[in-house]
Amino acid sequence: MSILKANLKHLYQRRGLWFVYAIILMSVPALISKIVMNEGTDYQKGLFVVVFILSNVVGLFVCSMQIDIAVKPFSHCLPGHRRVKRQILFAVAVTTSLLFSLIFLLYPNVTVGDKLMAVFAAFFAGMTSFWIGVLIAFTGNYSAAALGVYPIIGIIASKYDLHIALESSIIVEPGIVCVVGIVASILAWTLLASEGWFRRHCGADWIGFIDIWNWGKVRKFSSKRYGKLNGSVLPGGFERLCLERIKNTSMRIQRYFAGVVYETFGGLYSSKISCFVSMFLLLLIGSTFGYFKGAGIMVFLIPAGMLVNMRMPIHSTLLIAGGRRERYFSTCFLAIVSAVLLCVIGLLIAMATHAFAATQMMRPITVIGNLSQYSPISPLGFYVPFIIVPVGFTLMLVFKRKQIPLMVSWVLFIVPFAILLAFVDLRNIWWACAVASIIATCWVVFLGVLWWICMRRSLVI
Amino acid sequence: MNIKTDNEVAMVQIRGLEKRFGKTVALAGVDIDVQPGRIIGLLGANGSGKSTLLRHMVGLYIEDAGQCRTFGSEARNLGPDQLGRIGYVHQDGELLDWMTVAQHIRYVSAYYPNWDKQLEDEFIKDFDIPLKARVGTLSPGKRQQLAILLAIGFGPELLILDEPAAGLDPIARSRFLDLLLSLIQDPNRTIIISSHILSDVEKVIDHAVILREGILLRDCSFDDLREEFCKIRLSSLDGNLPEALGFEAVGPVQRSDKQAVLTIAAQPAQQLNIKAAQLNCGIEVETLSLDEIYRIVVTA
Repeated sequence: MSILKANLKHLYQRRGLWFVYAIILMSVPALISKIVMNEGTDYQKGLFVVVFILSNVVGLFVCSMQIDIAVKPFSHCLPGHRRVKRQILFAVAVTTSLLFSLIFLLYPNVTVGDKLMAVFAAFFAGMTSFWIGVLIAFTGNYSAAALGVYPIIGIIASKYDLHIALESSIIVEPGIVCVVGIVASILAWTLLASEGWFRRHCGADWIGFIDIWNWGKVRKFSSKRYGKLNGSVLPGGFERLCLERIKNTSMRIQRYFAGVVYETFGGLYSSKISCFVSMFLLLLIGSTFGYFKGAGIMVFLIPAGMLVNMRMPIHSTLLIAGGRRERYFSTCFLAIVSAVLLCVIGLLIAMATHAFAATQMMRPITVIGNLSQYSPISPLGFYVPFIIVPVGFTLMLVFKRKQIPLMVSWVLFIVPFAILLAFVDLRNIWWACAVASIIATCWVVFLGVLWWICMRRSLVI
Repeated sequence: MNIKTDNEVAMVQIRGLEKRFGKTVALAGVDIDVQPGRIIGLLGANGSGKSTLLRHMVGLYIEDAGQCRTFGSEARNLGPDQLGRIGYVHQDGELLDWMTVAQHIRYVSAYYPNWDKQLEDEFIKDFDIPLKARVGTLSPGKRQQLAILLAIGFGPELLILDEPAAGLDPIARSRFLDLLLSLIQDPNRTIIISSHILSDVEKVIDHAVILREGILLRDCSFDDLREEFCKIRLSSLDGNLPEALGFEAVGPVQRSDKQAVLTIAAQPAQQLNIKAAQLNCGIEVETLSLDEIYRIVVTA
């Protein structure tokens, strides 16, 4: 098998990646239809720039995949491998930029010559955006996390009409855009040929683009990250409190509750940096949802989605003096605590948006031609974690070793659920009853599945 | 006098245990009794069912057929009281990486009122375990040592060690074997050790269980197993050895014109001497190492 074929296999062998391709591919016709539908209106202004965001995401994705290969022992050092990575990046950059630039043929109110010039400039703008994505991929150990910052960038760009400015520069100053693209490409070609860029990832800790679903990899990554933090960072009081309860043998099942709280939340706290950075980002991103009507519910939905890699006591191979029954109740307890905690986090973000709204910090912004007022997030979405947590835990139990079915089922649940949430109004008694019934059903199903697995199935993953 | 049968005192009693993973048969009708006060070597190639058998004993797996009872209870129903008497080192042992070593020891010891602090201190000193390091940063060998400490620290009656020495260097392995020998001083304690390093295992075990593809090949005392086969060295007293030696070899045969070395099923010394005399040969009898015995048993 040639080096090129071996490299390309990484791009199609993992079925999880097909989702990424599907999302990128679906974005293009969606964007074209949006442009066509809004032809001649203010809404169309700046829409063309979305293709550069896609270029950027593709750059981030393809480069992440190449780093995935570089991380594997020896793969980078084998003859010819270094060259192939650069060639693939350039091939994808040229192809996607070329295809995406064709969208500028739809640009209104310009001559055919200007359109062609715009396509030419858009090609180089796409290349530049692609290389920025590549650069982002090299910046961290889990660069896909950068996608979480994109909504904030989007809002800032909308606020200052940066997207319209960029779009105009492609039409008005195509020469400058081309020069920037050429310089960026030459720079990329030179830098990617140098030793350091891929080499420093050889055998390094790395979480690939969709590896967040890969328990083993995430665990290995976390272990190494923990190692970089010296000594204990856990408050002694928390440890004492939990250990005293565990030692108290007169407390029967409650001992194990203290154990699971200690194991789970002690671990979360100990990864202090990422934990607090995540919380800060969550608050930052969450508070921006006030600009989008109906999106406020996401502050309850997104943190709950992070559950997918939670370690459940049911599958622990660290044998302590606790049987299947204890594992069952510990897992139930963990689910309840997680739901309550996520609810509290969501409510805190909602409160923060109320505070922002009260201080009038968040001025109205224009998003794709729409004037968007900042409105505080309703706390009425508090029930969302109480649905997400049992469903998420159930899926993790059922697909404990199957990454792809877990991912597919999770997405198939989350997407329609998020759409449904837009219609839910808890102030209506019928909706309130329906939500209560759904919560009850989810918990009954979860507890049933958990009981069945605890009592009837093998507990080793 | 009330004489107990083997079954009544067995710590673990396994009858007709079967386990499948899809089409793969992991255990095919295994019967074993684990008596107190033994060090049992569980031997077998990769995929022979050793870990599966051990996981049944602690209730992590549920049998497809048959029965597995530990301390008189169905293994799947083991509760805190029984599990508090079992120490277990898992093959791919899970430890909590975010904790420091000291924290981890404090955490696990909290579950056991009878935790032996003295043993813990000695172990940490002997094996030079860094208490302040995060568990996630430990080398595989140190992780294994920590896992062993966590499994023995509360003085379990039944200690199950699934490949415990795999990650240890030769000196640490030697110390670990010494530790096992000191642990077995308690006559009520049983240790089951699964390992590929047979030269180490044979120094400590007094009972051997051999599995191949889920089938139990041997379950006997180590002495009985050693007496099952022997190696004989035949030396011609006059001229060349005859073509047919009259011994049925169970293993590889090395022979030259005047000498032959054969592995055979053990026979009384008198009988061997008579046969050798008939061949006009001198005979020397040697015992086999566990490694050699294991090869014969699994390839038979």
